[in-house]
Amino acid sequence: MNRIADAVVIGGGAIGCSIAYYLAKKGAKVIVIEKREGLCFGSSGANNGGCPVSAFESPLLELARESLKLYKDLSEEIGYDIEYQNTGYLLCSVNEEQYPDMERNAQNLRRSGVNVRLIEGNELRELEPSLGADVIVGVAEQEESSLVNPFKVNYGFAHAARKLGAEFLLSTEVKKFEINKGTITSIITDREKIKTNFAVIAAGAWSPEIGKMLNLTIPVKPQRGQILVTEPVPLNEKWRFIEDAVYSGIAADSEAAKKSKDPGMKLGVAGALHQNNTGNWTIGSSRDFAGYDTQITMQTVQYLAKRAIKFMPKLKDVNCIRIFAGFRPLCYVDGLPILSKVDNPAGLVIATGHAGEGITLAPITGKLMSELITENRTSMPIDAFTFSRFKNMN
Amino acid sequence: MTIREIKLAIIGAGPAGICAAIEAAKSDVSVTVIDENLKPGGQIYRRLSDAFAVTDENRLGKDYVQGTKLIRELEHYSPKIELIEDAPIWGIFADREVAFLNKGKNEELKPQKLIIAEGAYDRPMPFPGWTLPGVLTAGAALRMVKTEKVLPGEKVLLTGTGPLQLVLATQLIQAGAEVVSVLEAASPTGAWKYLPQFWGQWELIKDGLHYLWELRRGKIPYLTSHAIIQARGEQEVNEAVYARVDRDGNPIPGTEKTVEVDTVCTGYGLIPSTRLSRLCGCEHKYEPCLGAWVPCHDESMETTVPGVFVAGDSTGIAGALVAMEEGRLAAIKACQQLGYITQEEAQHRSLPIFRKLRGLNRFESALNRVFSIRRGLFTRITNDTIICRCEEVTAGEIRQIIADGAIGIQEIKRLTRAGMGHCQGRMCESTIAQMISIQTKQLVEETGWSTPRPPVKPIPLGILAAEQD
Amino acid sequence: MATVNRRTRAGVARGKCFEIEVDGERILAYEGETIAAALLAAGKRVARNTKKKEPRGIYCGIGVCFECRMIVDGKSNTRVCQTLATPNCKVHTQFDL
Repeated sequence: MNRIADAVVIGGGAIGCSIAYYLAKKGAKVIVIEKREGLCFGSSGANNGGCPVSAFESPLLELARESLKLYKDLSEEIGYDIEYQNTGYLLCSVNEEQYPDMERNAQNLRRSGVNVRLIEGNELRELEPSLGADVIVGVAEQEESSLVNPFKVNYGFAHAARKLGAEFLLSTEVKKFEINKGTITSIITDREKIKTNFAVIAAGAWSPEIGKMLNLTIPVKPQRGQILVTEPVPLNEKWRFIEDAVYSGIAADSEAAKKSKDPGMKLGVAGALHQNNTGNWTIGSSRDFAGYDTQITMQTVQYLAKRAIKFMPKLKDVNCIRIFAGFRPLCYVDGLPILSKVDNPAGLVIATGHAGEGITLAPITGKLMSELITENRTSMPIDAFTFSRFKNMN
Repeated sequence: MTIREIKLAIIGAGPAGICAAIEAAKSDVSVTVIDENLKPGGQIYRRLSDAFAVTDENRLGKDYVQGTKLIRELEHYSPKIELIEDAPIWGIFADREVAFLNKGKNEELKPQKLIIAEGAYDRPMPFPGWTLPGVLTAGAALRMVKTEKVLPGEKVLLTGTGPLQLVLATQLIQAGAEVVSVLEAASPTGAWKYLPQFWGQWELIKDGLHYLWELRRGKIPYLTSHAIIQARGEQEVNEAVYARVDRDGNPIPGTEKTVEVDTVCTGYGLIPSTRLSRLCGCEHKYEPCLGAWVPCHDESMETTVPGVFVAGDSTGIAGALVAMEEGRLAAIKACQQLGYITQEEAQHRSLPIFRKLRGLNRFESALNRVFSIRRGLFTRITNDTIICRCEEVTAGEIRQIIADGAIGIQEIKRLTRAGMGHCQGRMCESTIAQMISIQTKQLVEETGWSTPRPPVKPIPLGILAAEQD
Repeated sequence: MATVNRRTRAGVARGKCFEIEVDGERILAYEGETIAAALLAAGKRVARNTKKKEPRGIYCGIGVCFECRMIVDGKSNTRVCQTLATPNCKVHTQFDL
């Protein structure tokens, strides 16, 4: 059976489904191709749904803030509850040496208009008694950052896209592209041929495979992360989203992490503790490169637990009931996502490389890519994320 | 933390694990047995506490006496057997590294060969009101009566399928409880065609007849083709509604009867515990007449992961006698692979065991067929029946997600949280698989399962975090 | 003190007897018993109340269902079927977890 689409999105994760939704909203006929038998089998199904502004610097920060704005009303807009909680976050430190990094982070955010507050240790503990005595200082942001349910985000966008006429082809793999006079004309899967004007590569850590079919090097590779899940405990008073200050450093600079003498740092352990409104804490995460392996490793798990207890000592007696792992699609050149049309072949859009912030950036990615495809312009600048910055590899 | 390297580790000190240990010790192999209970014996040979003085072993039942014999043999070989008790195993990592809790500390072993004998547990079978206090499994009731010497209640209804119910009924009567009725979902007419497979196992047949006789003597109704359809009560169960069921287990409307009870024991057979074998990456297959997944293994009990063996009820429900022989087979092969015995000796020791197992397995598989879980029993489940007990997810929620297109357990887990609680799906996965199959007409084996992950039992973060050496 | 005593005697003689406290009430327990056994012996069957306020008690009896979680000596989520009773231990019904 042959099909026809305005745009084919390759990849059914949060990014792919968001793009499908926003495209369908603009009246495009969209087909999403997903190689697994369902959604959430990649990074979208292996994270803890944290959306903090702290993780970003300009120019990505502006996109993130806009994305978080979109999240506020998303459940109502798509008619699907994504369990949005405006928890804000507290970025805090147990090492004095981190103070300058934290100040810098706070200043950067303030300069961009984010309302952050620096709070000293004792006041922190007054507001949130569960914080440990080792916590020296924290930067709090209340208005923009949130927690969402990543599964619901993925499924929610898909649900909304379907309602607007998008088709989902599961258990389907892309085999090759048909190109005529330098423009993509069809995609051939393992089942059929799909005629299309646009192809969007939103395949996360598998994007390079798709790129290869077009002789393109998409510099993305899987960066493994492990997350501990605890049993439910009573909800924290003030902060249910607590980040280790190291997170803002390591998330951006894996080279520095590797050079560190601290074995926990080497494994890229940087705490992001989230407490769901169900009461479970998820304790993430780590960063290492193990290909597509999602095995749990003892050392990482031990350091994750150790680090978490430093920030919240009461966790010592709380049971871990599950540990899972996944990987982030990391752009190993500069750590920034790729949100871009491609010159050759024409008709190709790449939307991947979101590293550990794919869930945060899903709404804005969908919106901007839908604009790029249907109007050939975007309402926010995305030059910093162009594919042409990898000219030397392509 | 130092990781101790050893030759052979056995997980589980039930009949399979104990016999494996003894067999290995006989071949001069040092073995470490790790078990989460306070004493060896597993479920069927669960020991009384040391603080309970045995005054008359004969009053404790045949199983207890057999268990005592087995434990004595284990102790006899104790120079070669290191037994680590009260040690829940929480993970198995690459290269068979076994992580467990021991005296409040996290410990790890790296064995060259690993035998997993993780046993089985009562099949959870939901029906309206099954979460009420006072509704407990036959296994729980048996443990209370046999080992803790406590009655779970005074006016008891038994419902389920299979011979374990008869054992429980007898125990309850002897302990002084009033057994209101024993409901057996199977029909006796079905059993006749399996008669040839029961042939030869006279001890087991005698046992079965003995239990039926006890019921007769106590004038307790043993109602075949019957099943509970609802447990009622506020804080605890105080009433049960049961009905006649057809050959497929569907309750027949108009046959409902209500009875006052304070306890309901549900005995729908056992399902293998496969958490550890899954974690090792062993291949599993679905056994339709058992209604459960079991690890694949060859005739020497080796799984698809080299050096990892399985034995006992975790490979398929077949009782203690089969478990013991399988334990022996696994140990013999492991010892041969370790170079302690020759291939000839291994074959020589294994052949009589194969013979014994053939007869036993025929009997047990016939039992499983006669008492297989009839699909109709799942129609008892109303939309507000809780399926995931931990996260309180109802059948209605799950049915809606399936109607919306979900075809697998993982998807249902992600969207409803079913399987995300403390028990990590042990109480709900098997039911959800059946529900998907019934609603979408898929085969149960196509519904998948949740990704195997540690910890297999909860472990405090503080213990995980403890300093490395 | 609870008046119900559902203990049986066949074939065993129990050891030391002592008291434990359950939601402020004193009940009997014997050395070697699990807290679950002592509770059942006293006719107490509700271990906890769920988030949706439903009562739950002992179900599987072997530590795999996690229904019998109570607060024991201040520690939440303790499975009483896997925990031995000790003299004067304080047991509380757990709520909302």
